Amino acid sequence: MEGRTQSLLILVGVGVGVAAMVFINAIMAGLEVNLLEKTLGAQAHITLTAERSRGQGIFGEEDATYARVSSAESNRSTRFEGWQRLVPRFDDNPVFTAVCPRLVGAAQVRRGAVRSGAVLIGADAHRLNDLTRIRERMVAGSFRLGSGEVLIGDSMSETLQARVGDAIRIGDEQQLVRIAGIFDFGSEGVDGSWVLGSLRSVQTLLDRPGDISEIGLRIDEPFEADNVAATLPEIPQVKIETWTERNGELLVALSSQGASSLMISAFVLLAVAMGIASVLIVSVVQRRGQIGILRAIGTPQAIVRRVFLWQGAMLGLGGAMLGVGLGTLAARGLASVALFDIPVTPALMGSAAGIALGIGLVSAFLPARQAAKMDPARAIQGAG
Amino acid sequence: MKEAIVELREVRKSFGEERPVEILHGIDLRIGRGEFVALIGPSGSGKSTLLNQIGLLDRPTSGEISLEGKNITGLDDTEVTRLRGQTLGFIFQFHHLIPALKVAENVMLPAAVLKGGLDAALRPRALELLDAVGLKDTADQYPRELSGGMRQRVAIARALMNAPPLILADEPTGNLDTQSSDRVFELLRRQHTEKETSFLIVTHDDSLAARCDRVIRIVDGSIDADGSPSEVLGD
Repeated sequence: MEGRTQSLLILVGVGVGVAAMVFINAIMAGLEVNLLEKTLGAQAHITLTAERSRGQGIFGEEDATYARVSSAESNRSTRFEGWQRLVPRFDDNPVFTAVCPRLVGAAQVRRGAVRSGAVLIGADAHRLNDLTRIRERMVAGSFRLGSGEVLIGDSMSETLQARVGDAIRIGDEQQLVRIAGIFDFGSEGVDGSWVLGSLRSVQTLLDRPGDISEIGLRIDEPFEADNVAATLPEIPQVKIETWTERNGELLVALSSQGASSLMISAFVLLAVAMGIASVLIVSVVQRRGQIGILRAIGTPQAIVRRVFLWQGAMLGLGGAMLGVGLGTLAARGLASVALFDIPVTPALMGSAAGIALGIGLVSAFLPARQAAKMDPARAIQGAG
Repeated sequence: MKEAIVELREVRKSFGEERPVEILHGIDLRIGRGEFVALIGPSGSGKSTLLNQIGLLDRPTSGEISLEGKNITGLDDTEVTRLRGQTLGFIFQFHHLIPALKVAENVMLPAAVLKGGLDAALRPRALELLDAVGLKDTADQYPRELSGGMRQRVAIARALMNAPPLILADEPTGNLDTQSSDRVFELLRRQHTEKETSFLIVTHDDSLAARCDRVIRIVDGSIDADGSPSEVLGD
């Protein structure tokens, strides 16, 4: 009876440990996805930006007409020449899920007496949606970039006290445009400064007809961005930058978060392992008479060892099942009040169960060895 | 002279490594097939140590032991374990039944170990033995549901399961009242008479030793007397 209570207690202990592991890892995964979504939602994974020209073509001297960048005196006049020929090349490459040439520039927006600095971005609506999934982020109005129409973020709409259908003025010329829709990327930097228009209208607003400033590329797996960027040919006067280079601090934060999660899991697993081992060691001592008699009647050491390894494995597996259930419940409970999804994936469940089973076996190894090596004569006499 | 079931030649056993203490001092002993022998002696004289050597539960420091004519010196643990399972039956002062197994399963255990698993085909033999010890009705009960004397009788049935030629019993009645003690002894005697099983019984109880065919007295790790009960115990 005592043995059963002990086993039940350690089973619950293993379950709580595994639940903690599942819960922490699910939260960390959820946080990571959330942070990445907020950071990357509106960003290109790889960005090609026109740099100041030294009079060289994008694909070298022979291809000098592809993207000649003019030696303008200011950024404003830096041209991304030849971009029209470059874009179809990226379109034809299946690695890229979105290719979006954009013209980006700084501008002042005004509504009545209220003014705000803005990042004016002009792009083709279809390509912009492929790159940023902005259609899913619309919170008011509709996603369209018609002539004389712009989209603004919800923070800017609050700043300007402007709603869908209201007119705002943009740029030095104070050109009047109408708000077609309001988006929310969940990022203050984006929602408070971006003003999106069609490529042609932004080219007009910034007085850069036919020009773009960058090409944004998206790929399936964001963390492969550096590798994919490394495969691109070197393009003179074009800077290739990945989102990881632009978000070094975020990556450090994610990596620290991952390391913390790993450390917590490791400590929890260590505690679980010690719990299983201590219960089995006590079990070996308590059952030394039975072990002695089993050995006396001809049970080989390997069988005795297997009995305890099996017990450890069962404690690990039973605890894993309990823990995965508890962890999933806890994660779902938190997900219902948290502002982001906390995914308990089959892979997380499987790995938690596998780790717990492994921990059970490893923890049982020493007690199993102790039981198998037990001298039957002394075991029987000591247990009387 | 009867064929030897077990034979010890100059067996010595010491314990401790830095300053070893010798418990058995060169024991020479021969037990014939079908003998019913009591091993007596004061506490600490080496009775249980000697029994453990004969039962292959422990290895002598020096000397030779033969079981059914086979010298076991130099056998590895696996071979010794198999030989022990096939040749010997054990009854201890405490029954050491497995609490998670039913009574019949406990009895079947020695055969199950040899066969590699609890097999339903072993049950009739287990029931036959439980019947012999008067416990057939308890076959599907757990050991915790039985009295001390009943558990000890289950342990005797377990020792008989593989029909071993030699049964070693260490104080088999030590924990029992007089009535249970007599009943257990009669069971051993009957097994000896009917199956010609050899018995070596370690006991403190002179009255029990007096009912055996041969009595060996060990004192300070050496055999002090070996003969009929009247020769060793006196009248």
